[in-house]
Amino acid sequence: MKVIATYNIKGGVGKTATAVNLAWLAAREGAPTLIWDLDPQGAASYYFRIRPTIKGGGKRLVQGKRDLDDFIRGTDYELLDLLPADFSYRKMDLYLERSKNPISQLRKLLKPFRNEYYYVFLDCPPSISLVSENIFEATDAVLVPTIPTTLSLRTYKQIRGFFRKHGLDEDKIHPFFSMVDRRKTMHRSIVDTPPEYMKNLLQTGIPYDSKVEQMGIERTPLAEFAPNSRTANCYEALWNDIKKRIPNMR
Amino acid sequence: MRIEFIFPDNLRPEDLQSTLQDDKRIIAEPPRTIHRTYFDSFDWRLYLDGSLLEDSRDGNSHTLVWRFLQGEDRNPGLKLDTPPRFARDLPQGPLREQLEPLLEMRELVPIFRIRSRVTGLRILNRDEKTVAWLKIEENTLPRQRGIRSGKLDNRAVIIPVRGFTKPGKALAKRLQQQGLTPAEDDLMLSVLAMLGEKPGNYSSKLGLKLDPAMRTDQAGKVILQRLLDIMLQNEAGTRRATDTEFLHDFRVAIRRTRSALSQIKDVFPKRITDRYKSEFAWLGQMTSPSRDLDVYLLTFDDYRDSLPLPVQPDIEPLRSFLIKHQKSENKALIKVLDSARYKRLKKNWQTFLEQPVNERSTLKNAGRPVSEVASKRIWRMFRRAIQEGDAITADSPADDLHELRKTCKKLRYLMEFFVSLYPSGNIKELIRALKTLQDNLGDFQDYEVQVLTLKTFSHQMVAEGNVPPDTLLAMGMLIDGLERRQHKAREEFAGRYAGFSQQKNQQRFRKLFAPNH
Repeated sequence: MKVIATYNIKGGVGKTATAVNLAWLAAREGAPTLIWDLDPQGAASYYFRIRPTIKGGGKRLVQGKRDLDDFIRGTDYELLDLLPADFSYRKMDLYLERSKNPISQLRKLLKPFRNEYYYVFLDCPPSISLVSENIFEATDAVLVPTIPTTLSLRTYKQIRGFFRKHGLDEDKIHPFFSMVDRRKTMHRSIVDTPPEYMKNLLQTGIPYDSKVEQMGIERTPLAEFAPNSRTANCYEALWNDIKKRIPNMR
Repeated sequence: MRIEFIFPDNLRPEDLQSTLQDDKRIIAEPPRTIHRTYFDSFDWRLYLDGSLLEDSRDGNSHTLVWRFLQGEDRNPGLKLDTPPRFARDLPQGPLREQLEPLLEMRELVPIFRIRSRVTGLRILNRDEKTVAWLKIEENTLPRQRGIRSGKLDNRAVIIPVRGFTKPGKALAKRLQQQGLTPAEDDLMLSVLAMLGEKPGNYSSKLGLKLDPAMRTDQAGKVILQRLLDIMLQNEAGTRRATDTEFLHDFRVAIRRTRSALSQIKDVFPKRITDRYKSEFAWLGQMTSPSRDLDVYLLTFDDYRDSLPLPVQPDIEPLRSFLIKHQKSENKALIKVLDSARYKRLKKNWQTFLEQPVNERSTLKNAGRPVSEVASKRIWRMFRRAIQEGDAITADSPADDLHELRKTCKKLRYLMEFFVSLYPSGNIKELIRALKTLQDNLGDFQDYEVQVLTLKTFSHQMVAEGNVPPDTLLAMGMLIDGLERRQHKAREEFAGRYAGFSQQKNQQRFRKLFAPNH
């Protein structure tokens, strides 16, 4: 099982779109895949027409009182399942803090699924918190969609700083450019000469595209309703980059 | 869990579809023709594990589904370009990780194929989310293996979507209202039964039930016939040489045949036993080179991994050498299997086994009840093993261990031939105890043989030219490692032997096999 998180402290950078489209691609290739919607806003669940249903909420989940299995829902696509969001995830931090070994809780929760799924995508809430630390601990790779602007680069540096400060493996961080608008000078200049501290930068960037926004209307992954669009192709290229980058992650 | 339903005779699939589609929340997909193949290993490892493997081909794409015999999917379906020949051909992932230890080196064999015209219906909820699938299947059996083509049951299969149980249940109710009945078996299993395939019908185990009062010559023929059957069942696979287990089972049957001929003494005329002992020895010898190479190739990765990382690539030329020779050895083996000598052996041996026993035989053991002869032979062989084993000290030469290994093997075969004559728990426990010792003796011997063979290979490789010196050095390191392992096995021997020969086991052997006990 390979666990991949899409994460950024900033919201609205294409995090959920990335998780949804990559998970769909992974499943289409024949790998049983789970997408875990950890973001209380529940965008990934919404895209798959799945309502948040975790009654009793994150509290019971994390304390291991409920079997995660009961909450998993099949999407409309073969091999692709989803663990829906729940609004009470907002309070997950508090619950994690109270548990005995807060940092490895998420990893423990995922353990029973290692024979079932080949990939698990974690669509993470924006913010840096105990939840994030759990996520970083449990994942093989953290994909960081980054808009090519000065402010976004600053955020990216903050994420690296957080990793360093908490003794987490910085090599897990794999940034890529997201919502790239080549009409903008700043975007062009950053994408063409990315700063050196963007180590592990993935080659493929995702362009700014109103079709990605349409995903919210169509409520399906991009490649389902616009299979030949440029952005759908970019997601495919990005996915290929990721697989090459992390071939043996387990 | 998927549920299969069978159509009644008076309901056509298209009628069911149009009835269901009155509901606007049920959407049909265009029908597709799917070619489905049932796979298992020759020795039915998946079936015996309680599962089946189905490959569905739709155009050029394959989907592999592994499911429990009761219908629940164990993997949700893996998309592939071609079905795998071996578990190791599967892409890395959960399916491979679970199938590999089950199937090991065994090839996946297509058992039969069926053709299905499948119409998928999606059942949607108010969010237009798919909450269940219904697959309407019109199934036919194409002509294959001498069986004429024919129609199979039309079926409707409910495949629930995870986390949505109610819609599937409601649908099941509707189907029953339309006159469909839940199928007792998965379609694949009912076709299996229809074709007369008995899963589990191959096993390399003898699985005989002998009557203790049976004449020993008669029992001997039953055992030998079963061994011949195992040989013949493995002959085609041995020729194909894709799955090394065929040759292995073929050879074990030969070895057991030879052992039965010499160990079940004084039941058949001497000229018969002499003749067939020598013929089967010849056959065994002819198959050895192929098996040796198989063993090397099967354990090659372990060998390579035992070397330090920087040296590992150096050993690869040995793999190429082994593969090249394996091919030529297999050709030679096929020649043997095509030879007049082998054909004659099979035919004459079968004729001999079919002949009724000579009721007036004057041979000492021929007419005695098999249970008597079996106990006597096993008891004698056990005592020999103890005698030889007790004499082995830390300084004893390797030959003494080899002798004991041979004695133990004879003892093991005898116990397996006659296992059905004794209370099952008791004899199996003793076989297990014996096996623990045999494993140690076997390792000790194998490492020695492997060292010698590696040396022979290195000379051969030099003679054939083009062997990089680094490869020879790496082989030298392998030899070192094997010698160390052999040394370790030798050190472990005393402990293993003490375990086997402990008083408790000796008493158990005595109780089961010693005369007048």
